[in-house]
Amino acid sequence: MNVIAQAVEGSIVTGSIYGLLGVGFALLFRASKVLSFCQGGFMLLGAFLFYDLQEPGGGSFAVSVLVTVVVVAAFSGLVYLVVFARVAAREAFATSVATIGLAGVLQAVFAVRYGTAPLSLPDGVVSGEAFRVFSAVVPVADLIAVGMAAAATASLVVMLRFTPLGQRMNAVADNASLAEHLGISAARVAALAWALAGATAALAGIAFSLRSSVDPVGVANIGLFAFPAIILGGLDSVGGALLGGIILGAVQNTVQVAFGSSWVDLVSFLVMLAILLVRPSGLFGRTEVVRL
Amino acid sequence: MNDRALVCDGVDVHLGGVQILRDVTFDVRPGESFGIVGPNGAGKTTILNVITGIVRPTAGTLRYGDTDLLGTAPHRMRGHGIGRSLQSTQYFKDLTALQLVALGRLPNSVAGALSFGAHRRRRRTGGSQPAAEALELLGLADHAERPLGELSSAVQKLVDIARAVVAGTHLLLLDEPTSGVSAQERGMVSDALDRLRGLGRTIVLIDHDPGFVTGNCDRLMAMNFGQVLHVGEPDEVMNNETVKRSYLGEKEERHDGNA
Amino acid sequence: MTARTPKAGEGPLAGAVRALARPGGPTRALLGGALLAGAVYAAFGGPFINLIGQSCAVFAIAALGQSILMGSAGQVAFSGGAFMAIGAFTTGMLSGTPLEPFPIPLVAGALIGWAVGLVSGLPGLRFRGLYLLLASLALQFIVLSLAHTYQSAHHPAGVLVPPLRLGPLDLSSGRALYFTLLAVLAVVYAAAWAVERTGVGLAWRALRESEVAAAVSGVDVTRWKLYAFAASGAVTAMAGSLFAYLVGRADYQSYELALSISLITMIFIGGIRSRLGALAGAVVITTLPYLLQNNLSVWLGGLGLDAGWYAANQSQVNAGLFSLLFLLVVLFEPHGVEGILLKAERAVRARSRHRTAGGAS
Repeated sequence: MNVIAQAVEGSIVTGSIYGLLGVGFALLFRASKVLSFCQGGFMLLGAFLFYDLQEPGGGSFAVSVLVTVVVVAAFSGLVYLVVFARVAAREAFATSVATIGLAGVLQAVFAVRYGTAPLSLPDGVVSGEAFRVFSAVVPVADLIAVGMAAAATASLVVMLRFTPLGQRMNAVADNASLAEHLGISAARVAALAWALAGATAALAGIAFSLRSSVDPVGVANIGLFAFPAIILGGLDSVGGALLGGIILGAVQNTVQVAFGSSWVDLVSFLVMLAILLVRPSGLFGRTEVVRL
Repeated sequence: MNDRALVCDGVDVHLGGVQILRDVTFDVRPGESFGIVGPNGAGKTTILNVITGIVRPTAGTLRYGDTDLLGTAPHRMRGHGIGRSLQSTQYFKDLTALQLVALGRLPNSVAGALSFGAHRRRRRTGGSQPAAEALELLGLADHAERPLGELSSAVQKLVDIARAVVAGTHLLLLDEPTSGVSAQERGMVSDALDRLRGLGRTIVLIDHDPGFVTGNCDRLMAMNFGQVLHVGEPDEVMNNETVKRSYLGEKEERHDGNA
Repeated sequence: MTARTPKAGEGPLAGAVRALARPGGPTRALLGGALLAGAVYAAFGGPFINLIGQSCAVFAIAALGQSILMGSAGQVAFSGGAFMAIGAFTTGMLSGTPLEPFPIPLVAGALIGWAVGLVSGLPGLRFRGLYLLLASLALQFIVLSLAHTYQSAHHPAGVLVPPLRLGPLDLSSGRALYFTLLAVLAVVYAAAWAVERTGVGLAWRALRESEVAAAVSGVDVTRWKLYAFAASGAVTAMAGSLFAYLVGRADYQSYELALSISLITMIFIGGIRSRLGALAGAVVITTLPYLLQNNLSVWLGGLGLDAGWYAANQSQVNAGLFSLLFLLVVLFEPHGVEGILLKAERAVRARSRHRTAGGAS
C-alpha cells in the first residue's frame, strides 16, 4: 500500500511539473499558433534565477518566486515580440522550427554562465517537513509543486473563461484575422500568452529545483519530454495539459519502477507516437487542429 | 463516345459540426455542359470535392455511369475518366506549362514514373507526346517552356484545363475557370470550352460569373446554403422566383456590407 | 525514329551555355565551382584538411538524404540523427559476422533505413507540419533510446567498426578514405539528380507545392510521400554507416537531437530547395567549428575582448552560435546561401536589363 501511494504521489508531483510547462504551451499555441520548444529554456531560466536569488543566504521565498516569475514572464513576452511576432503571423510553422534555435541559444548561454555541473539550492529554502497523506510521505517541496500547478492552471482556466483578456485570447485563438477586424491586437495578445507561458515555465523551474539539483541539459530536455503530455491533453487545451502531465507522470513512474529508468524516454515517446497516430487531437483538443 | 451520366442522389456533407451540403440531388447527361451557380459558401466547390473523392459525404450516393464514385481516392479519378481543374494555379507557378500538363499523365507506379519523360523538352520527334499535343489542342504550344507564373491568368487556366484533359478525360470538372481572368480574355476560356464540347466531353462548370455560365452551359443548377434551389435551362433557372429571392437577398446583404 | 543532325547552336556546348544563362544557372555554377574547389583542396591540403574533408563528405551525404525529404517533398523532420544512428549501429552490429565486409554493411544500413523511413512516413500521411515534426521527434528519441540501451548493455565504449577495406584495398584513412567517401557522395548525388528529372521528381515537386492540388491533379500523394520518407531514410542511414567507418565506432552520443538540428541547419543554410545547397550547407556547418576554433580567439583579441572564456567554453559557445545561426536562417532566409546568391543574380540581371533597355545608365 505504501509503495503504491508513494508512486501515486510521485506521479502527481512529476505530472504537476510537466503540467506547468504544458499549460503554458497550450496557452501560447492557442494564441500564436506556434509550437514553442523554448519552454524548457524558460524553465531553466526560472530555476537559475531562483537559485541566484536564494544563494547568497536566502531572502524571502515568496519574494524570490515573485521576482523570478515576473522576470521570466517579461523575458518570454519580449522575446516573442522582438524575435518571433512578425514571422509568426505569416508562418507559424517556420516560427515553431525557429524556437528550437532559440532554445539552443538559451541553453548555451546558461551553460557558459552557470557551467554544466548540476546546481543545488542551499538547504532550508523551504521547510524540510513532510506530511503523511494517504500513507504517502509528502515533503513540503512536493506540496508546493502541486500547489503551484493547481493554482496556475485554475487561474488560467478562469481567466480564459471569465475575463475580458481571456475572451480576447479565445477570439485570437479561434480566428486571428477576425479578431483583428474586431480591434484586437493579435500580436499583443500573443505576447501576453507568451509571458504567461514564461511564468508557468518559471514556476516549473522553481518547483523542480526545490526537489532536485538542476542539471542544465537534463532540465532543458524536460521541455521536450513535456510534449507527450501536451499531445495527450490536446495541443490547445489548457486544462488538458495539466491532466496530460499527470497521466504522463504516472506512466513514467510506472515504467521506472517496472523496467528501470532507461526505458522511461522510450515509453514516453512511444505513447506520444501512438496518440499522434490514433487520436492526434488528444483528450481535449479540437480536431481541426489536425489540419496543420 | 461518351455515354456516361453523373448521378448524384441525396448527398449530405458534414464538416466540423456544420452541415455543408444538404440532400443534393442532380444528374449530368453525357456530353452536356452543366453549370453550378451560387454565392460564396453555397457549397459548389464541396460538390466537386465530393465527386473527386476529397470529401466523403455522410449520406447519399454518387455514380458515374456504372461506377460508384464514393470511396475512390482522388488520384484514381483519372482512371475513371474524370479530370478536374484547380481553383488556383498559384501553387504550381514555378512549373513550366509542359510540366503541369504532363502532371496529368504522370503514372503512379515506380517504374512508370521513373521512365516518365513527358515533362521534359524532347529534341527528338517520334513517339506520342500527349502532353505537348494537349497544349497544341488548346493553342498553347508556344508557352510550353515558360513557368506558369509568367503567363497570364487566362493562359494559366487553359494550361490547367489541358492538364485535366490530357489523360483521356471524358468528364471535366471546372472550378472557377474565369476567376482572375480579365474580361477580354474570357473569350479564350469560352473558346476552349467550345472546343472540348465539340469533342464530346461532359463538362461540369462552377463559376461566379453568371453571364459566363449562362452562355456556356446547357443546363444550370442554382444552389445556396448547401441546398439545391433549382435545376433547368439557364434562362428558366435565372428567372425562377426561389432563386431570385435567394440571390437578391445575398446581393442586398453584400451591398449593405460594402456601403 | 530519324536522327536529326544538330544544327548550329544545338550541340552540348550550346546546351551548357543555355543552362548557364537560365535563371539560377550562374548561382548553381558558382556554388558547384566553389564546392569542387573545396573538394580538391581537401584532397591535397594536408592530413588535417583531409580529415575535415572526410567529415564534410559524410555530412554532405546526410544532408542530401535530409533534403530529399525537406526539399523534394516539403517535410521538416527531426529524425536525421536517428537514421544516421541506424546506419552506424547496423554497421557496428554486423562487424564480426559474415556480413562484415564493405560494402555490405553500407547496403544493409540503407535497406533498414529505407524500411524504417517507410514506416516513419505513415504518421506523415495523415498530416504534415507540426504533427509530423512531433512524430519525427518521437522517432528520434525512440531510436536513440534503443541505441543507448543496446550500447550500455553490450559495448559501453561504443560498438567497434572495422577499418574500411574493399577487398584487398585498405581505404580506411587518409586520402584513400576521402576519395572513397567522395565517390559514394558522387554516386548518391548523381542518383538524386537523375531521379529528380524523372516523373518521380515531378510528383515530389507537386507534393511540395500543395498536396491537395497534387491529389486533384492525379498524383498518388500517399505513395510518393512514403517513397520520399523511404529514400531519405536510406540515404541518411548510409551517411551514418560511413560516419561509423570514419570514426571507427558507433556511439549513440554522436547521434542525438543536436545532430538532427545540425542537419536541418545545413539544409536551411544551403537553401532548402536545392541539392547543391544541401552540400554547401553541410560544408559550412562542418567546417565552422574549426574556423571558429582557430580564428575566433584571434578576432576577439583583436577587438580587445578577453578570449579566455571562449577557450574555456568552446563547445557550448559553438553550440550556441549554431543555434543562433539556425534561428536567424529559419526566420529570415530559409533559402540560405543559395537564396542570397539567387537574389544577387536577379539583381544583376535586372540591372543589366535596364541598361540595355535604357541606354547608358
